[in-house]
Amino acid sequence: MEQRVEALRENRRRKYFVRGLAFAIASGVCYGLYTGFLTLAQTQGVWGAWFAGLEWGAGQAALNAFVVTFALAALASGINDSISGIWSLAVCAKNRQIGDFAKTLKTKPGRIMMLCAAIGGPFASIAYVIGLNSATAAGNPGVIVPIAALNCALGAVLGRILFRQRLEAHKVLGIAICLIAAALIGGASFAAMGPQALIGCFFAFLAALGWGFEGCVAGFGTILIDYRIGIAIRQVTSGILELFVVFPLLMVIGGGASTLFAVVGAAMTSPALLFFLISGFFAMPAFSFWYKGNSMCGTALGMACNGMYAFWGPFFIWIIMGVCNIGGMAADYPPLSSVQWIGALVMIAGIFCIAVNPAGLLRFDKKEG
Amino acid sequence: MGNGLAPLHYAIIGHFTNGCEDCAAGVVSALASDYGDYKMLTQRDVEEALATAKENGILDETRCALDEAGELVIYYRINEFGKTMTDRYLA
Repeated sequence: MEQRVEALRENRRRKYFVRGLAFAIASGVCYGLYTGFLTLAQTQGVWGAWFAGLEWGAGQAALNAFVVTFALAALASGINDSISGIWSLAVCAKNRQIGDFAKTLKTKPGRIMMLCAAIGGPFASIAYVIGLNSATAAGNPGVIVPIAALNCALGAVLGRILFRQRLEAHKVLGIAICLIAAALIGGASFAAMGPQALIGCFFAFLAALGWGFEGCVAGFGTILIDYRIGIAIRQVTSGILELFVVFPLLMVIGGGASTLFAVVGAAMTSPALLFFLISGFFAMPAFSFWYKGNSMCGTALGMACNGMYAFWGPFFIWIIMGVCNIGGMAADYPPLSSVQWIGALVMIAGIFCIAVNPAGLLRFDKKEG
Repeated sequence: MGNGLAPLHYAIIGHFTNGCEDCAAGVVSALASDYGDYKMLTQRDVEEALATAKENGILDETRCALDEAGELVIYYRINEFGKTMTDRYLA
């Protein structure tokens, strides 16, 4: 009897762990898909003309460099996050959780979630899109993704500084491996593509910093909030801030105030919106499974599995735009270089080193076996 | 759902703040009168919520047993960290 209970309990625990792991890994895959479709969306319709510095709409003058680099990144990120916010709310509605969503907003964990959204959204997501766009302009959007995936390493460092969490030797080793891999990828792309790729890498690093903070702090909020409600709060807050605060602000700073509404109108009626619908659709599980995975199998392992999008990001950009030739620019998206593959794989190894103490893993296996 | 009830997830954790020991089925039946019309108040969802709370150090597993159908039942109780968290964030 005792033995049967023990066996059932072990079985239940393993199922739960595998389920958590599946969520965390799926989040990384969805992250890659969201990145791929977001990159694609920004090459379509009026977006293509904007980034090429061409006249657009009914003979409107080309947008200036500041607006193209910063304001359009906020607009793209805002559209993506708002659409994923709508998808998230649809999931809540299906589960009849809209009432709880509204109530959670008024509580402390709900407010912490909104703070995380402000840092992870307007700050990190926009930096990510700026990074993606700079790298796309330089010839290869895939290179910045592994840099942004450093958020896992930065999360561990921030956790040490902000919450005095312990930073064991294997985590320090993992962070060092990640930094070397990032330098490898960044250095190789700099040599191949020039300074614009480096600018991309810099902004991707800012994104990593923001997401590292988010992963670190959101863990606190999501212990108490259902992850489906958590992600709805995150994406709605982030989408609203980006679209209605950051984007107009950047347009005004960039001297594009007079074209603000024309730009929004053109973006909303562009066929590219279809691809934003898809990228927003994948951004929802990318973030909600990240939170869910973090809370089910611990932040360190959760973030490590999510960080595998260092691989999935460049992979899906190549699959969607290169292999499938959606957007008709296959020639511009050749397979990744071997240095990029190696760098991404080294980084994944580093991420796992942060997440899992190799010694502890061996002991766990022995006990399980 | 414009009632005065706390969000379901808070109520599931809140059920343990008086220090009681309980399992998922116990939580479901205790909350059924208030949250009976909530789609997410199921044995399966509550089970996962409790396991996650345990993973995050809020609840402790106290014991296991088999129910009449031979299914595993896991009992939980709130711990000090859990009390601090609920006092600070859910009060």
